[in-house]
Amino acid sequence: MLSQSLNPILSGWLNRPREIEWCITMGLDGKRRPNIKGTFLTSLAYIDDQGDKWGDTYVMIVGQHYEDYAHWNSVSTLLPIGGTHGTRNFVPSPFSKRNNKGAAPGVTGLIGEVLTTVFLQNVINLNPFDMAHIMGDRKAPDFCLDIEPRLLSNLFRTSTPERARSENEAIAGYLDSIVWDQPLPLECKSRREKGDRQVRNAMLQILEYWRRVPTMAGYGIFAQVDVNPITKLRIHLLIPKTTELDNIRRIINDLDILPEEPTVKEFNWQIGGKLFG
Amino acid sequence: MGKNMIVNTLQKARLDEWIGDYSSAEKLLSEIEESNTAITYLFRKTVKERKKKIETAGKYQISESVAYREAKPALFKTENLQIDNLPEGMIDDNTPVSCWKYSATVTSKVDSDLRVEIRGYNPDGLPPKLAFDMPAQIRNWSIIDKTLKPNNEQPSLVNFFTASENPAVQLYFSVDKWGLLSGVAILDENDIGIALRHIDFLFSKVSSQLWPR
Repeated sequence: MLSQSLNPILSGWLNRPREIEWCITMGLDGKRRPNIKGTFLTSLAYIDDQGDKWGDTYVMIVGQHYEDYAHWNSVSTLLPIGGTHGTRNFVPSPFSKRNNKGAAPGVTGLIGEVLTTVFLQNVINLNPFDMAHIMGDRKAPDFCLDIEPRLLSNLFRTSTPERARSENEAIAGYLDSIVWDQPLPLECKSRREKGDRQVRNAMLQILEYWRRVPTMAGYGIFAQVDVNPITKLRIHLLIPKTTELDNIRRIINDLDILPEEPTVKEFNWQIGGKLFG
Repeated sequence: MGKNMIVNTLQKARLDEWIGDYSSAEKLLSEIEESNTAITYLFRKTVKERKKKIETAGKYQISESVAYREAKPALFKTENLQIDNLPEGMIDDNTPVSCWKYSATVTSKVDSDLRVEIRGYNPDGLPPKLAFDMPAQIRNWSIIDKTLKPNNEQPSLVNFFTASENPAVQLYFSVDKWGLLSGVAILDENDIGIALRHIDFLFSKVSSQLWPR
């Protein structure tokens, strides 16, 4: 922190506004076109600051890690500048590609959690105690939100639509008509692995929550945070269709229909059609 | 326990743990554990893990390291600051920091200089008013720099770089849009008591601007 205050060039760079994209898609399907999209402004200095407060992993100056990770292997932003004949000490840049090192999973995870927290602060407008950041547990979601459904319905009415307005209005209208008596679970993943392991892990964490807290069965948020090549928060909102609430509660507790730890395909087969989207 | 109470209590426990008030964090987590509703069953493992971590952290807090034998971590709360120990002239003007619950912990020592980390939050949960005019001088404090970037209309973070001459203290701190306080002070170990009282005085002035009545 001190280095930032003492160095005006670094301070100016770290405090420069950065635009982060987000979108909300109904259901778990990553290929489905989002319903709404938007952006929010933050800065590397702010991410640095929040990184010390949220998440389970300790990483110093996580905003500056984020900038590095966001440009990982990015040819467009890490142009190698070659040396010239006249300047022997000016060597070709070694930063064109970082093939010899991998991103640290803990750092990537923390970046995702911090960006999700900033999204909750700036876009959903949550106050400090509207959100509880839960310690890492395979069976618990990352966040529990004390949130009124109308905060989400407002977003569906005021954000840039990506699908028919009538569809968004139907979702907003439904959100206006319901009340949540328990916290809304939110699971965040920020690593892209081959296959759907991260999506499955997130789904299993939310599913476990539904089994323990049956009044919230069908409701949840899965935030897939991509950092590279562009930073984007892909928010998957899980909302059950009005007529399917009881069915979902029955299915998630019937191991003959849905295994204790289903695959994404099994989940979508049994539950997917019973959710909006 | 309703959803707002569960979320509020869990978050408060996390922030108490963050500032080092482990006994309060443990008490809050025990409340959740005892309420025994469906959602607390889910958190039982989390609460257990968190309490275990808190116990470990508490042990580190009281143990003396060989390298920094002289720099015992000093966790203090604002209510422990005695007003009658304040320097002459500051007594009349001092109002206790009522908005922040904060801690200061010695984290390292070089020669007689201590590096003190400061962390705090507002237990009322009220977001602060970050855009305000700050004087260049508050008693013996010089406000060297204050930034309101990236967006002056709706700042998310305000940074302060301040210094005091007598006692010599360098203090950097920031306040985010949720009112969380985070800072570092460099001060002489022989002045730690009076320096912390000066810092508390500065915080009382800054916090009264952040949460005006």
